[in-house]
Amino acid sequence: MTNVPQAAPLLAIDDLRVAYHRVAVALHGVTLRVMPQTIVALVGNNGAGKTTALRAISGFIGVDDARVIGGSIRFAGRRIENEPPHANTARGIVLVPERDKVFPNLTVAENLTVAATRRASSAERRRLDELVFALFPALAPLRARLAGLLSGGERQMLAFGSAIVCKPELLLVDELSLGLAPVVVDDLARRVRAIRRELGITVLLVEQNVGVALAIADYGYVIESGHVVLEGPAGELRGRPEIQQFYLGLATGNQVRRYRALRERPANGPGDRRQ
Amino acid sequence: MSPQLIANIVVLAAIYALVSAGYVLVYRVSHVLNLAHGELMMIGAYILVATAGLFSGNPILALLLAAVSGLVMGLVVYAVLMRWLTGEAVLAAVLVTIALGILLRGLSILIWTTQQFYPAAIFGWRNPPVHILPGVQISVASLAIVALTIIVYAALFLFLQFTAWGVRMRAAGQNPLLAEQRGIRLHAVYALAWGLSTFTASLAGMLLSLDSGVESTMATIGLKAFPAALVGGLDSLFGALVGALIVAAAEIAAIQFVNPLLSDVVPFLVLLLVLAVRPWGLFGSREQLDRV
Amino acid sequence: MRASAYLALVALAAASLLPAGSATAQDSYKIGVTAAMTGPAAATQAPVIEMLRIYVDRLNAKGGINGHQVDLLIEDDQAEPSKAAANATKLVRQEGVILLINSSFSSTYGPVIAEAKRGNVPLWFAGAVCPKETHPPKADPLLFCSTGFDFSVDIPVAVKAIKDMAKEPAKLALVGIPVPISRIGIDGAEKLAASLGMQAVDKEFVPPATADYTPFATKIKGADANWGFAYAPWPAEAKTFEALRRLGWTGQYLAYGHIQAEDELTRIADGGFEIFMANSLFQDDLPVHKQIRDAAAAGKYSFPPTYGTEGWLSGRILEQILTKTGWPASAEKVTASMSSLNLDTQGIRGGPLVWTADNHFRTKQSYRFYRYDPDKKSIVRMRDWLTVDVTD
Ligand SMILES: Nc1ncnc2c1ncn2[C@@H]1O[C@H](COP(=O)(O)OP(=O)(O)OP(=O)(O)O)[C@@H](O)[C@H]1O
Ligand SMILES: [Mg+2]
Repeated sequence: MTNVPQAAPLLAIDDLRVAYHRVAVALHGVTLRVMPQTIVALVGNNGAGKTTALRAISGFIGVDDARVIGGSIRFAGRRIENEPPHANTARGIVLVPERDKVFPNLTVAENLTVAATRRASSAERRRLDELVFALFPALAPLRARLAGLLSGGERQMLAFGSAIVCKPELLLVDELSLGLAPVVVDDLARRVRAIRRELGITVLLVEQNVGVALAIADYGYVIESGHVVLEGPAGELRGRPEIQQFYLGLATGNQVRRYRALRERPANGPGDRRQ
Repeated sequence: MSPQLIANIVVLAAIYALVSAGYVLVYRVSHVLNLAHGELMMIGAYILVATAGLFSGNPILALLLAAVSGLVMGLVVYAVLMRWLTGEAVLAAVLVTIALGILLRGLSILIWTTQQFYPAAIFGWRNPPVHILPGVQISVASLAIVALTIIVYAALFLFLQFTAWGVRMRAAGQNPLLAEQRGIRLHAVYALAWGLSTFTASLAGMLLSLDSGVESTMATIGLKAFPAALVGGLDSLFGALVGALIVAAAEIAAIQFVNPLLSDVVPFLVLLLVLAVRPWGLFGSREQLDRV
Repeated sequence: MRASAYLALVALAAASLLPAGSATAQDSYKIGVTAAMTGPAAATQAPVIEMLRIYVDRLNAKGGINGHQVDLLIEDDQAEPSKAAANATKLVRQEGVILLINSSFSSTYGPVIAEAKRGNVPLWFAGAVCPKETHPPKADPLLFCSTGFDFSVDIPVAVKAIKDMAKEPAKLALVGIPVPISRIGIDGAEKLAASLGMQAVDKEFVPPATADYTPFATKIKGADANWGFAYAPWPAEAKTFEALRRLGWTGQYLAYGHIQAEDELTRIADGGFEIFMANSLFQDDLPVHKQIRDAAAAGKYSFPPTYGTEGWLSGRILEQILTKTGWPASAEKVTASMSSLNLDTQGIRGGPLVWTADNHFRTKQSYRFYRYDPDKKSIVRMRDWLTVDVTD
C-alpha cells in the first residue's frame, strides 16, 4: 500500500511539543519513528500524553483549543503539524479514538457510509464495506442497529471498521483494550495483526495494557509526563525488568511509581540493569 | 371543526413548517440557533421581487433564479460570517446571527424601502381561490405552499436518511471531531446546512410574497415560526412538522373560538406549555439539550 | 478573527446603516423630525417624511425661505417610544430645533410631547394619528396636527356611508388591528352601527405580520357578513379583504384609503372594495398631482408618486409656517405662526387647512369615496367631497 522505501519512516516525529489552551503543555518534546508496515506501541501511565500525541498526528479542531507549538510531524516526508483532521484522513492517517469512537445515533451501516473516503468509486466503497464485514463478521448481522446500542467490543470493531473504510495507510489506535474482556482483547489483537499483514496498513497503537501492546507490536515507546523515556523492539522491552516491574505488575513492594523516578535513582530496586 | 378550518390549519402549518426546517437544519448540524432566519427569509422574498422585475415575462426563470440565490445566500453567510465562529462558543455565533438580522433589516430598507411589493402582480398572476372540497377554498399560492412543504420535507428526509452527504450532516451534528476524523470537511457540511436552510427559507419567503406580498416586517413571521421548531425539539425535522401543526391548530382555534387578539401569543403559550413538560421538545433528544 | 471582534464589526456595520442627522448650518431654520423611518410603522410614515424632505430640498435649491435654508434633521425612532424620546431630547436640547415633527405610532407621543413642553418647542404631528389635544375648541398651545385621517371623525362618516350604500340590511364585519387607536375606532363603529340599525356580526383584530389572513377571513365569512368595514393600517385592511375574496366571499367592503390606496386598488382590481379618504387621488388629475409626480421623479422618491400626497401637503404647510415666521426665527415665533395658518390645499383636501389659537386640527373635514371599476379598468370617484363638522 505504500511506496515509501524501506529505509524511510512512514511517520517521523521530532521534538514534538503540544499545548492545550495555549498554556498547558502536555507534550515536552517527543521523538518517535514508525516504519512502514510495522506495528508500533506507545505505552505509559494515565495522563502521560499518549492520546495527545495521537491527536496531534491526526489533527486538532477548533474546540480542542490545542496546538503543536514546537517540533515536527512528517508523514511520508511531508510536514503535517496543525493540519485539520479531514486533511490528514485524506492523506491516509486515520484514528480510532479512545472515547466517542462511533456515531451513536447512526446505524452500523451508516457509520461506514459516513466516511468520506479519498478517491473511492462507489464500487470500491462497496468493496471496503464488504472487507469490514469480512474482517469483523460479528458486525454483519448488526448492520441496521444503532451504534449507540452496541456492546463495548462491537463498538470497538465498528470503530476499526469505519477507520478502515477511510483507506488508511497509517492507522492510529487509541486504547485497543480499554474496558474489554481479555478474550475480546486477544481477538482484536489478532485482527490488528491481520490488518497489517493482509492490508499492509501501518499501525501506531496506544495502550495502557503494556502486556497486550508489546505482544502485538514490533517496536515500543514508553512515555512519561510528556517525555519518551524508553524505546526499543517489543521483544526486548518485554524483557526489561523495569517494564516488568512497573507496567506488567510482576514485581511487588516497590514505592517508586514512575519509571523516570527509577531511572534517576539507578541503585534503587532489584534487577536494574540500566547502564 | 369545519373542513375549511382544517384547511386553514394545514396551510398555516405548512408555512410554519417550511420556515422551521431551516432552524432545524442549522441547529442540528452546528448547534447554532440562527436568529437571522426570518430576515433571510425576507431577503429571499425581496430577491424574487428583484428577479421578477428583471424577468417579468419569464416567471419560471425569475423563480428559479430567486431559489438558487436563496441557496447561494446561505453559502455566502457561512463563508463570510459564520465560518470564522466555528470552535467559538455557540453563544457568540448566536449573537452574530442577531447582529446579522439587524444588518439585513437595515439593508433591505435601504434597498427596497418600506413599500409593499407583490411579485405575483409583476408576473400578472392572479391568486384565485381553488375549491379543494365542497365549501373548502384556499388560494392557489396557499396550495403551492402546502405542496412545496410536503416536497421539501420529503426531499430533506430522503437526503438526510439515504445519501452519504445527508448521513454526514447528521454525523457532524452528533460529533464534529469524529466527523472530521472520518474525512468529513466540517466547513463543507456547515456551509451545506446553511445553504439548505436559507434555500428553504427563501422558498417560504417567495411563496408568502406571491400570496400576500412582502414588506419590511415580513421577518417577524420567522419569529412566529420559531415556536413550531422549538415545540418539536430543535434537532428533529419530524418534530418541526408536528410542532408546526400543533402551533397552527392552537393559533387557529384561538382565533376561531376564543379571541383573535390571542393569535399572536398562542404559539408562545404552546411553547411554554411544551417546554415546561419536556424541556427538550416533543421529538428532540435530551442529550442535545445538555450541549446548549 | 475572534468572535468578539467580528461581533463588534457587524454591529458597527449595522449601526452605520441607520440614518444619521445631517450637518447643521448656522443660520438656517432648524426643524427636527422623529419618525418611524424603519420598523413596523414605517410603511405608512416613511413615505410622508421622505416627500417632506424632497419638498424642503426643492425649497433650499430655490434659495430657502426668507433667504435662509431649511435644515430638516430626520431621526429614526423605529416606532419605539424609547428611541423617540432619545431623538426628541437630542433634537430639542442639542440641536436647538425651533419646531419638532413627529410621525410614528401614537405610543411614541408621550415622551416626545413631554420633551417639546420642557423645551417650549411646538410639536406637529404630520401623517400620523392626531392626539385629542390638538382638537378644537381647546387645543394645546404647542400641539398641532395635519394628518388626513382621524378616527373620531372618520368612523361616523364611514358607518353612515355603509348604511346609505347597503341595498339590503347590512350585516357588518369590523376589521382592526390590536393597537389602541384602531380598537377604539372599531368598538365605536360597532356601537354606532347598532344605533343605526345595522348588525355587527363579527369583529376581528388582526395582528401585524400575520402569516396568513385566511383564518380571520374564515370567521368573517362564517358570520355571514355582507359588508366589511376596516379601519387599520393599509396592509391589514387590504389583506383581510383579499383573503375574504379567496374564500369566495361576495360582500362589499369599505376601508380608509391610506397613502398606498391608489396603487393598491388598481392591483386588487375588485369593484366591491371601496375606500374613503381625506386626500384626493392622482386619479382626480389636479395640477398639484402633476407637481408631486414631477418632484417624486426629480427627487428620486423611493415610493410610487401617489404615496407622496400627504408629505407634499406637509411641505407646503411648513413653507407657509416658516415664511410667516420671518427671520430671525424662534420656537415662540413658529408657534405663533402656526396658530394662524390658512393654507390653500390646492385640491389635495376638500377645503383650506386652517389653524387658529384654539384649533390646531380642523373644524371641517371632507372625504371622497373611490373604488376600482372593473368595466372601465380604472379607479372611479363614487362620492365627491362630503364635508362634516368636527365636533368632539
Ligand atoms: N483538552 C485538554 N485540556 C487541557 N489539558 C488536557 C486536555 N486533554 C488532555 N490534557 C492534559 O494533557 C495531559 C496528557 O493527557 P492525555 O489525554 O494525552 O494522556 P493519556 O496518556 O492519553 O492518558 P490516558 O491513558 O488516561 O488516556 C494530561 O495531563 C491531561 O490532563
Ligand atoms: Mg488517552
